[in-house]
Amino acid sequence: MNRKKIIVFISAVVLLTVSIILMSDDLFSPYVSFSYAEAHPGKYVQVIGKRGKEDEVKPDEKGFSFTLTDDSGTKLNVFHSGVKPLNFEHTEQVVVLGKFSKDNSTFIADKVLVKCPSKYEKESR
Amino acid sequence: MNTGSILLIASLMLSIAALFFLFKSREGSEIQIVSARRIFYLTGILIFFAVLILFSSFLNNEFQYAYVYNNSERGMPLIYKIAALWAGNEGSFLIWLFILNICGQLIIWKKDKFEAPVLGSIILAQIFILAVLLVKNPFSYVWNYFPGEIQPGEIPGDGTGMNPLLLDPWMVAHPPVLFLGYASSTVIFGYAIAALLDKKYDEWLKPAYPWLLFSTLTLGIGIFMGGYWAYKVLGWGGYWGWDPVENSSLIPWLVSVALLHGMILQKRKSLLKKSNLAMALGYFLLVIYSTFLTRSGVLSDFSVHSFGKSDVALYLAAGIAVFLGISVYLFFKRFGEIKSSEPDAGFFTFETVLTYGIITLAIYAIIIFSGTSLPLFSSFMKNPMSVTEKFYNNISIPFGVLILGFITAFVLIIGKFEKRELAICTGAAVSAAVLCNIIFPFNALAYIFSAISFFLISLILFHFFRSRKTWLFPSGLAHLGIAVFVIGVMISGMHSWTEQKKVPVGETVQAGPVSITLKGFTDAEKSTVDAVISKGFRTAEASMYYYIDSKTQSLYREPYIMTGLSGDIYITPQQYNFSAINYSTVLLREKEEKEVSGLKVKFNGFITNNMGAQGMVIRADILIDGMKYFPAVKFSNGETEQIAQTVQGSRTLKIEAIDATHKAVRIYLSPLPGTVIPPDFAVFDISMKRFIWVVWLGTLLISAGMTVAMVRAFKKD
Repeated sequence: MNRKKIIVFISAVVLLTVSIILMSDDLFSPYVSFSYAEAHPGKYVQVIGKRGKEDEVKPDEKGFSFTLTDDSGTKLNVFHSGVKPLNFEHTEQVVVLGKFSKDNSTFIADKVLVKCPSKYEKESR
Repeated sequence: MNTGSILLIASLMLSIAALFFLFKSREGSEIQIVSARRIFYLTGILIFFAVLILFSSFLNNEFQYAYVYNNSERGMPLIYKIAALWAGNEGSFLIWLFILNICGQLIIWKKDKFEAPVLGSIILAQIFILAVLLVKNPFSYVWNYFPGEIQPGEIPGDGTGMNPLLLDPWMVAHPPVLFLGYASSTVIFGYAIAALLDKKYDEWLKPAYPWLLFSTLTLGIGIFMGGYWAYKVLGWGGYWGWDPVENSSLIPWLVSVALLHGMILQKRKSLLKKSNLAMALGYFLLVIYSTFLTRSGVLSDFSVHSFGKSDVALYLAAGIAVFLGISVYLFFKRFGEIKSSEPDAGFFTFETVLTYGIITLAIYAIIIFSGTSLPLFSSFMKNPMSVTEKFYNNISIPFGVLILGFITAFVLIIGKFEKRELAICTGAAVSAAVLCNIIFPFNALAYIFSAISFFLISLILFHFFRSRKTWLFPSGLAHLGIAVFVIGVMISGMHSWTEQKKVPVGETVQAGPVSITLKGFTDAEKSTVDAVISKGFRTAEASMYYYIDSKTQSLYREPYIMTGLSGDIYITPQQYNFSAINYSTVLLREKEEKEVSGLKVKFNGFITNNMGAQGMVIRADILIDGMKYFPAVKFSNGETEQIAQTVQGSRTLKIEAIDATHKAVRIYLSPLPGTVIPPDFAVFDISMKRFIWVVWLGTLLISAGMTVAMVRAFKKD
């Protein structure tokens, strides 16, 4: 065991890691705008938006869907198959991760994060 | 200003004084170090009283304190009032501070050879936490916290209670155990600083080693508990989600495990002196960095459960800068003069395998660190981004194989097995791997990982029964735990399944071998969805929490778990549909028209009639089928009275609830007699978590191995 061999080993591990990152899809999720997500269907992204008070959450047997609105007022239909996050109903801002699907113009989210309302983590002063 | 705040400010000033005397004592004066000790002892008393005051204000329901008001309520059981001490940012920093201070007292009590630099590091950390506590003060008054909403001097009658997600026995144990690990990492940092200052690159290991074992063990147990809690209560469906909060404890833990092995190597073979110092410094730096990531709110767009945004970010960033600055300066100043001995050249040796294992752990930690920090660093660029769970899962496959491989190589080297024994172990491993996986759909990874793990298990067991080298016992136990853990992770990860089913009340639905019968909904303060779950001969009644929590205004659900040898049946109520209520009530905003009980109903607005001393009447202007109706609610002398209207001769129309701010009303219209309303139904997620107990068993074995090692190290010390 000498320095050279250790460097070779480290390079090999790093190379292995890099090749795994390059070979697989969906490892990164850049924050993008609604329009970018819609223009790049099939690309894994995350978007943030507000859930309008009057927009209802439509549950079905496979999951639930809802509408997000961004700062400029653009709307995005989102579908998530799975667990509705615990404080989803009363949250305002939602972050969704997934891909936009062209077939039904819906964002298929595989993860939905709710931004906890600041109700019980209020800023002091 | 109150007693608690004064205690904190006083201990901040005293800490600065103690640090000053410690600096002076480097000139060799005994009086200075005695003064530093005495002052530090005093800060301990003050901090202890601060904790005591906070605790007693939870017990006595002193809601003038915002922290008590936000995290407690009168009816809360005692154990949760204890847990509330660390339920929020403020209290958890205080508990951390308290444990850190105890570590310092122990260093003084032990008359440690490296007392001054270790104590100095602890005091410096104490100063930073105290500074954070002055911003996030657990003793600030509720009227300063909610200015305008609560008048100065006005004490709320009851608190808002704890977040229901935290109301769990695990909340009592999980955070303080984690803080034990966090706080004790400062001690290891202190020893590394001592080694660099005093140029004692070997002597620091002896006192630091038992502390490191303690720190690694407590941080590890804390992480394991968090995983079990997430699985059992939080309904995330898994024990690990690669969330920033989880990662931020895992990263320092991996470094501490690597350091543990590095120290053993240095003690036995005089190797890795520089790397060990770097890792000891890095361990604590990563703990502060983690705190920064999770408590400052920088990741609040990326994490499910980071604390909200807060203004402690600056203090924590300053803390990182100061400690990093000291570390980098000292380390590079001494870098040239630290000499490790030349290692043996052979590949298949104890030291080579251990070194490669340490490197692998370190690179793994660096990758997780990069992934977790990516949102922070990329936010300086145009497109902030994060990594997905898949990133971590994919990366963990080669690293898992490498780590398992090095452990196996290590056991092979120290075990000196005969060919016959190796053949037996190989045979046992292959058959066990096949047995575990054959009943499930083929998955190559599951086979590879379980085969290596079973091979490792059989080697370790062989070695246990044969070897007389008892010093290897804790290592064997912990590594056995790793192998068991990996088997659990692979099998539960690869062979579990989930199905979503809609179940009407009174009916039974089958999902795999599980059948579920929905009994209904129990309306209570904490409502439940009730079902009967059965699989094979086992039947259980399950009442799963399903209610809107008043504090967080959000739906709280709890899964039901039927544990079993071949796996857990894990059932989460996704949604409960109240068909009858949905049919006959409706929420209407002003000028909105919706159908209820088969009729189109329009709400034109409220008409408020103030009758002075007699009270007030609020009428809803409702249009049904061209006819106007005015159902109303009358408020008088603190009582409310419903004034219903009759529609189409026999049907009742009344107000259920009024939402004045959104100009909305919920009305009830009784259905036509004889209307057939479909029954309520619930949607469940039904999962089978295969052999999940193997994961828990693995973590228990790892903890047990480390505990034995720690007890031995302390005895020797």
